Amino acid sequence: MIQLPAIWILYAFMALGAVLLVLAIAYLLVGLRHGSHMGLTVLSSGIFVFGLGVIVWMSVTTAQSISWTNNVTIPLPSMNFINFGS
Amino acid sequence: MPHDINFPGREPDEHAVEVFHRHWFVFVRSAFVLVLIGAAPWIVMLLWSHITSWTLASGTLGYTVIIFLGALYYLFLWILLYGYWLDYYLDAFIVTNKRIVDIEQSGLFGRTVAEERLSRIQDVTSDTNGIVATALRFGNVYIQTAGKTERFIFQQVPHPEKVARMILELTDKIDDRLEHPGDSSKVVEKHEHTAFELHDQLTKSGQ
Repeated sequence: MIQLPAIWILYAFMALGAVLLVLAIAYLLVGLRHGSHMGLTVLSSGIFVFGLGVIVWMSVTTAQSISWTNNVTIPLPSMNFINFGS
Repeated sequence: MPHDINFPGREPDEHAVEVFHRHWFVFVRSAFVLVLIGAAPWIVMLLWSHITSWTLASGTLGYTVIIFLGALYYLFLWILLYGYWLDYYLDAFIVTNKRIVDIEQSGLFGRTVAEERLSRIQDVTSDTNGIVATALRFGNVYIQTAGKTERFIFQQVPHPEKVARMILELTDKIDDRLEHPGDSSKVVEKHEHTAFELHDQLTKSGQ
């Protein structure tokens, strides 16, 4: 059994999300930099940003719905099947 | 009609006669696979709840963690989908009144631009392989040149035979211009007209 502050889970997801968002921004910049048709570039980038916004908004809304001040207990599976020397 | 687009190394009196991308089916096929991967967790959850009568109560930490995992998963898939789109959209084959330009985008930072003068084109061939390619009329165009890049390949472009014919028409125009420098204006007019007719045909046939 492991006990840890619930906020750590939030921080872990925020860190992973931030990495993916940096990747998303890099893709966006490449699209805007090299896109040859202005209209299509703006349209596809807009749809992409909208999708990102929906995912981030959904995550933030969910994160706000619970309290992060408690500790979390994560039950670990029983290791009784390992009986060294007995 | 000439295309009003930006492309690398554009000269003042140069215009794009035709711009090709891969056939839309290439992007749709990749996107469809991602849609299936995206639908997989929902199918698993539905089956699991059906078998075990498991329900996910909102407002709990377990629910939040599952939403977060889902958000990361779909964020990753969304970026992957946009990456596929960029790979499709930024790969372009441009035929101008002077050159052919082959632009290949690989990943975020890999970009190759190969170009060759129309006057150095020696041979143009096209092929269509497979049931889907035959049904949807797309294939490869191979351009043999006398330059450093000996062979250009326009991959999976719509109507490859028409593209090959158009490039040959433009190449003939350049050859005629070189052989008959005095009549260049008439020759240019004749062949550009033919090239634009071909462009109209490609547009009308819904590439």
